[in-house]
Amino acid sequence: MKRGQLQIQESIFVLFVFFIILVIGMVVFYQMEFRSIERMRKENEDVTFYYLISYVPAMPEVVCSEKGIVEECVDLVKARAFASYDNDYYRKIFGNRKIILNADGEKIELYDFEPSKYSAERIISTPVSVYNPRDKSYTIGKLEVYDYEN
Amino acid sequence: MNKKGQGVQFNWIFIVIAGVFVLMFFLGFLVKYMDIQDSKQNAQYGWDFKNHILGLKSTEQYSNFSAPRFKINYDCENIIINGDQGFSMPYSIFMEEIDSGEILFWVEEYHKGFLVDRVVFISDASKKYYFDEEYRSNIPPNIRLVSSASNADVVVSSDPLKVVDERDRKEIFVNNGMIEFVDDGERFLYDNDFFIYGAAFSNSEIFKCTQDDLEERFDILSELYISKISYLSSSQSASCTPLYNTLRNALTFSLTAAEIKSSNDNLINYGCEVVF
Amino acid sequence: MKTKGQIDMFGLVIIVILIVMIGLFSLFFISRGQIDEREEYYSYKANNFANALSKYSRGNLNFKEMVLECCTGSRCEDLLDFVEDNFAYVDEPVSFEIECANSDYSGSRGSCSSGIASESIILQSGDLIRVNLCRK
Repeated sequence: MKRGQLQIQESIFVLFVFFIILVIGMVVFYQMEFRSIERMRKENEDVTFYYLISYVPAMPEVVCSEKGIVEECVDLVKARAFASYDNDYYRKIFGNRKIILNADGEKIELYDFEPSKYSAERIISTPVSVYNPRDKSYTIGKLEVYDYEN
Repeated sequence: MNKKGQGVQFNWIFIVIAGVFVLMFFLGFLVKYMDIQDSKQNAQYGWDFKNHILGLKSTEQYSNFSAPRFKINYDCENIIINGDQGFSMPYSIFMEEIDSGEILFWVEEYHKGFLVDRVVFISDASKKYYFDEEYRSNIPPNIRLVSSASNADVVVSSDPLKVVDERDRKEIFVNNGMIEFVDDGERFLYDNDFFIYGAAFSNSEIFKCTQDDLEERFDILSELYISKISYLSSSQSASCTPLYNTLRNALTFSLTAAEIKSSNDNLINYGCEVVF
Repeated sequence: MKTKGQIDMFGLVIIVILIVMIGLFSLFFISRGQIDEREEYYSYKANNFANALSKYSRGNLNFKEMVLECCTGSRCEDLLDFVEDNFAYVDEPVSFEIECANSDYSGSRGSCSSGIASESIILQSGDLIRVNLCRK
């Protein structure tokens, strides 16, 4: 009897340990898969973030044009007008980000929805050609896009 | 001896109960695993899809996208893959529910005197479209055009005989500045042939929200250009002022695209800086 | 028998510990993520900088005229100095190259000898300019 009981207990313990191994393995696997999906979601967000650096200078709101034909530059007067516009409409395009144009010693905040709390800040930037309709000059400016992580 | 038999019976009951729990656990794991794999696949499709659209340069106005069959919806804010993963796009979109592995994209600029936005038309590449002759010239080659309305999945026409409310296809009736979705009777005013293509690629709900979105963007841009006019009229010669006022009025009262454009283009004839 | 059972149990416990440790290590390495190449981003920046330089025109300073003076005369140092003054608009190491169409002159300035190159811009004079951008 005692030997039998011992053997039963041994078998139960073996099953129990095997089960524990399986559960741990599954938990680890699940964690990996969830992180993988989270990483994909973040990469998707990153695509938009990096894309903005080419999207913003070409936006109808700031892009240079002459008689409807678009040029590869930013119109300084349009940029100033856009900065002073209450741009809640653009929240769905830009989200919680900040976009600044530095031109001619002037810092123009094109868009600013910096969250009150964030864990990290990333900045990407690009030089842009800046056109001033006042004196028809073309200078060089810098466009910066700030991204905030929760 | 009796006790030994009872002991054996008891053991079997325990094994069966334990086995059932183990089996339920494994089944639960399997279901969860399949859900996770689906989510992962949907996230991958979404990523590829988004990258494909954003990769379209201004010189490539159309392209096709292939993937294993999946469902795409648009709710006026986000594109949703298989009812699961959603993402937003920085463009206005005309599309309706697609359930296919072959998708086509067409990017076109919407102008109303000036550039308002770049719009993406998204559709199932296997769909056949019939358009009246006058609307065919702007359509890119990746869209399957048919010469007869009876062969088409989508019919866009100003001929009432061609849009007779057949149940197995979509019909858009174009008449007197009005677009009508024949299946649900919704009607919308339009001032640019651009919206006829929009109606062909979307349903009435998406058409309305995208059209409203473009109109809102036009209003915002008009305000920005009015600001620019104020700036320019103070820095240009006095002879430009009446011309800038004409353009300001055209924008303030949302005159036609042609009037807005000509008011702007006229500036250069008098040596004044154009606004757009 | 007891001893054998204990040895078996001990072995199983070791296996469990090993699997948990392997799992934790894998999680750690996976969550570190991958280095992002973003080549398109750097290519776009390089093209933008080259475009912005080629368009530059303010008062007496006109980039295209400076290129012409460099390629037909000998004022290439002025051009290269001007370009170097504008390197501040790019955060990464950058270099500028010029190849004159009608003379043998080709010059460069900057600290990025081989990186992501912009598209070559051929000016009306036939002279060519290009920008190289190195990752930080």
